[in-house]
Formats: sequence, C-alpha cells, structure tokens
Amino acid sequence: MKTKETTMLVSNADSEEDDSDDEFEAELAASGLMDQEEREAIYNVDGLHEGLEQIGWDESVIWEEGRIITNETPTQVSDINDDLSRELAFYNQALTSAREACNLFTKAKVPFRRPDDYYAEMVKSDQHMGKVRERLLVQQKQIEESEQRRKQREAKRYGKQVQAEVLKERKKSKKDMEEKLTKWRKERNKTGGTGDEDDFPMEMMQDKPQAVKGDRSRSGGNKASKKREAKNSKFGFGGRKKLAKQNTAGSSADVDGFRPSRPGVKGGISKKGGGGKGGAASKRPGKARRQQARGGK
Amino acid sequence: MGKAKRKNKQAVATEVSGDPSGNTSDRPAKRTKAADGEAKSAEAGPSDRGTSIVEKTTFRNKEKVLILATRGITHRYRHLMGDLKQILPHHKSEPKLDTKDDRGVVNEVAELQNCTSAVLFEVRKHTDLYMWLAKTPAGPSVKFHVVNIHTMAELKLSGNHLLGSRPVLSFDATFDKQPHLQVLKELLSQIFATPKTHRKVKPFFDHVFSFSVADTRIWFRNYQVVLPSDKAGKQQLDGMTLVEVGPRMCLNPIRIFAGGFGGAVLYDNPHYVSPNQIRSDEKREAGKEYKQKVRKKKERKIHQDKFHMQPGLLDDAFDE
Repeated sequence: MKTKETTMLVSNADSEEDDSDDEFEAELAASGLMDQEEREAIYNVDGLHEGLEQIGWDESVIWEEGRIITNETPTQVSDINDDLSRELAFYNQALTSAREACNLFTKAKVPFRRPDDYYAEMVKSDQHMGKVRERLLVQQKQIEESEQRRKQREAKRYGKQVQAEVLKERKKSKKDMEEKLTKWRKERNKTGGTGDEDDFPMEMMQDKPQAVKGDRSRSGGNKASKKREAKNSKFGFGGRKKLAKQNTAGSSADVDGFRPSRPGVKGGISKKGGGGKGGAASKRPGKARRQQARGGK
Repeated sequence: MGKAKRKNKQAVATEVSGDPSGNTSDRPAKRTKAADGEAKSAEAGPSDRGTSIVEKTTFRNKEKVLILATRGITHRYRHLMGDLKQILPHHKSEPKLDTKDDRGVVNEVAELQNCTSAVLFEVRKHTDLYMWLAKTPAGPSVKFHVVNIHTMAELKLSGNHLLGSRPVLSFDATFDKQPHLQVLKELLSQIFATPKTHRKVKPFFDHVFSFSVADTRIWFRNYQVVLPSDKAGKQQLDGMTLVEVGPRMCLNPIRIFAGGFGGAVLYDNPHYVSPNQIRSDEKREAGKEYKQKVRKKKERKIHQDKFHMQPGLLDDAFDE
C-alpha cells in the first residue's frame, strides 16, 4: 500500500485567474481562515531546552536502564512514498542498533539470548501465528504455481519450434531421397537396366521417412495389408472370379505342385533336379529386383 | 490562504532552526541531563558504554505509563492502543475519557494511578487520531497526528516476540540535531523504555523499537530480532535478521507544550497541515468546476446585457 496520506498538500491557488483568486480570498476571510495567517510560528529553543532539562535522565544513568541506542548516521530515505526503500532504511537502522546492543551485552557478559526451551507467553497467540504461517504457505504456493505455469508456457513455445524443425527436416530428407532416386534411375536407364543392384542407394531402404501420425493417405494408401491381399485373392476383389477357381483340363493334368520327395507325403515320384524349377520359374526376378520394380514405378 | 500562512511560519522556523549543529552547540552549558550524556557517549563510542552498562548507580527507571483514549475511538485505533499496551508492560489502563476539551483531567488520573507519563489517544470526527505523549503532571507534552497505522493483527507482519521482554530503542541520528527532536526523543525513550525491575518483565532481548525521522515525521517500527541457532558468538551477529512484529505508525508532531496536556507552546510544526484543511481543500477542488460554470454563466449574462443588438433601421422594411 502506498501511503497517500503523506503526500497530501494544500492545493495551489496560484493557477487560478486573478479575479477568482480575489473571490477565493474573500471567501476565506469570511470563513475565518485568513485569521490564522497572523499566527506566529513558534520555536522556543530555550523553552525546549528547559523542558529537556526538566525531564531528562541524569547523566549517570546506566545504559541498561534505558537500552537506548542512537545511531551514528542519520537514516536517509530517498523517496518517502516508495514503500520498499523506506522500509529498508528503517530496517537497516534497527539492525545496526540491534547489532550494537548485542555487542554491548556480550561485552558486559549479560545473557540476552532466550534459550530454546524457554517457553512463555508471546505478544501474538499461537492461533494468530498459525494464520500467519498459513498465509505464508499460500503465498509460496501461489508463487510456485505461477512459476510452473510460466514454465509450461515456455515449454509449449519451445515444443512448437521443435515440431516445425522436425517437419522441415523430414521434408528435406524426402526431397533428397527423391533426388537420389531419380539420379539412380537415370543412370540405370543409361546403362540399359542391367546395372548391378549394388549401386542402388541403400540408405533409402534403411531410413525411409516415418509415417506422420494421422497421415494415412500417403503411406497406407498404396499398400494393402497382407491380410487384405489374402482375402482379396480368396474372396475376390476386382474382376470376375466366378469360374476362376474351377479346375480346368489343364489344371487337373498339372502335377507341378506335386512334390513326392517331401517327407510325410507318400506315393510321389522322387525326381532329382525338380522339373518344376524349369525355365518359367527361373524367369522370376530376385526379391530386391521385384521390390525395386514396384517401388520405382 | 493556509499555504501562505505555512510559508511564513516555515521561514521563521528555519530561521530559528536553520543551523541544526549550531543549535545543539548553543544549548545551556549547565545542562547535564541525559540527552547531553547520550550525545557525549555517542561521541566516545559504543565501547565506553559497553563497559559501564552494569555499573551501580542510584538512579532507577521507574516509569509507569497511563494509556487511555477519549470517547469515540474507532476499532482500528482501539486495536493500535491494545497493541501499545501489549508492548509496554509498564502501562496502566483507564476507561475511556469522557471529555475531549478538558485534557488536564488526565494529569489527575495519572497521579491517582501513580503514573509518571501518559499516552492519550484522542479521536476526532471518528477519523483522525491524535496521540498525546506527556510527562505528567509538569510536562512537557507533545501532540502528534497519527497516520499510516498498521496494527499487530495484520498477517503480513509475521514476527513475534516475548510478552514483556525489554526492547532496545533505536533512534535515528537526526534526533540529536534539533532541539524539538531532542525533546521528542527524550519523551519517546522514557515512555517506550521498559523499566528493568518491573515485575512483568522477562529477561531476554528479542525485539527493537525503531524511531526514525523522515519527511519531518517520526516513524515507529517494532522488529523481532532473529539470531541463528549457532552457538559461536561472532557468527550469531552476522546472521542476525529482523522480522517486523508491528504495530507501525507515523507520528506527525503538531505542537510541543511546556506543561502536561497544555501550557505554553514551545514548538509549532510549520509543516503540519490539519486533516480538516486537507479534506476541505479536496472538497473545494472538487467544487471548482461547478463554481467556474456558475461564474461563466453570470459573465455571459452581463455581456449579453451590455452588448445586446440595437433595433436596425431596415428591420421593418419587408413588413406587410
């Protein structure tokens, strides 16, 4: 709280116009305020000294009787309306005196410290001090809470930045990959598609960009799951399937899948070299090639 | 106006108290009382005081302070009075004084109660608190206007100290610079210092009353002295902190009188403006606008009467 009382001043009438000033003074004279002007300022130094002599304690009064300490330096308050600086000045004055008093006590070997086990009535009751403590706790809690809120706000701001950075990074890496891929493809086309698989940029296999959460259209759209594929093949998806699963003359005559050498299967012809692994099968490219063909599209 | 009056008065006062050091030097030479002694011992340094604090002398401080209020005291001021009673174990209380005009009665009451000094809380208009400090019955006495009051019940003053432990009174060095401040210091110290041998006194030191002069007023604070529990003497003093206990108040001296609650005026504060004056000034300030409006209206009327339009020659040219 600011101390408004200290700065209340008599209002200045000089700013008013002359005629209104005259009016004002006439008014004052009427109310008897002007009479006070004739009152003399009083500063009776001799009287004050006399009064002091009358009541002043004898010089021989020992310090312990009054315990009065006058500081050597006057207390300076820079701005009387600034609570903090004013209270600090008073505090420092009291602290200096308290230190000096303690020094005097220790020098004269007067015990002044209250033992820890000395319990006696205090000026403020325990109930009141409980309230004081409660208030302090509440204040502390409020400070902590506001601090936490502030931290959270900052973390959020930081998180946003990080997120933006990550997205940017991801975009960049994707672009890089694409560039590399087109470069590689061009090279392959130049060499006529027979180039070795080894010069395929392998890092693309390893660090493919992770799917962003909630972005299904890009990553999930192309590839159906294994289960879906199996179901599609079983129950049909796309095109007529009605007679596709029926045996035909050719299929019933085909014994390609029959592998008599398999253990636990009886009645097969053991045939070394496996006729099945003939020309048609060998035409199927290797896995990497197949994947590459799929991905390169 | 009040301001002009104050200006004049201040000029006289500064003439009288223009050179504070000069004033202290031209004190009567025969004076051998405490304020002089205090000044001397301050010059000699605290170490001299330290060696002599337990010497035997015949003088004993046997002050008793009568604390009472006039009728019409409000709750806040009553609480302040209660706080003073708590921190001054050597007080005696009395029922509220019925009259505000005849304060001389307090001298008699104090005599009946065997008190050597009195603190009177005089409340005017249920708003303004004036506090009298007086040595009874012969004086001197002083009348303060009390502002910026904080009682001990306030939760933000978180200190506490023993009921009845003797305080150390801390005075600002400014108190020794001017005669009226010396008198005030003597009055304050005699009233607020607790006698050593009083039966309610507890033996330990745990609080400081501080009196400071700032803005021509006296500011009172009460601090608890907190020492860390370390046993080593040196470290104790370094780690000493203060916690404010309350009450707080700001005393603006109005006048110092030669007698108890009256007598010749020894000092009249030129800086003092009564709260009535302040309030009326505020009201006048607030009423200024209306007055201005009324004045303008009147002037306009006069002007219009003076310069009203004469009937012209051709006014009836187009009639009929």
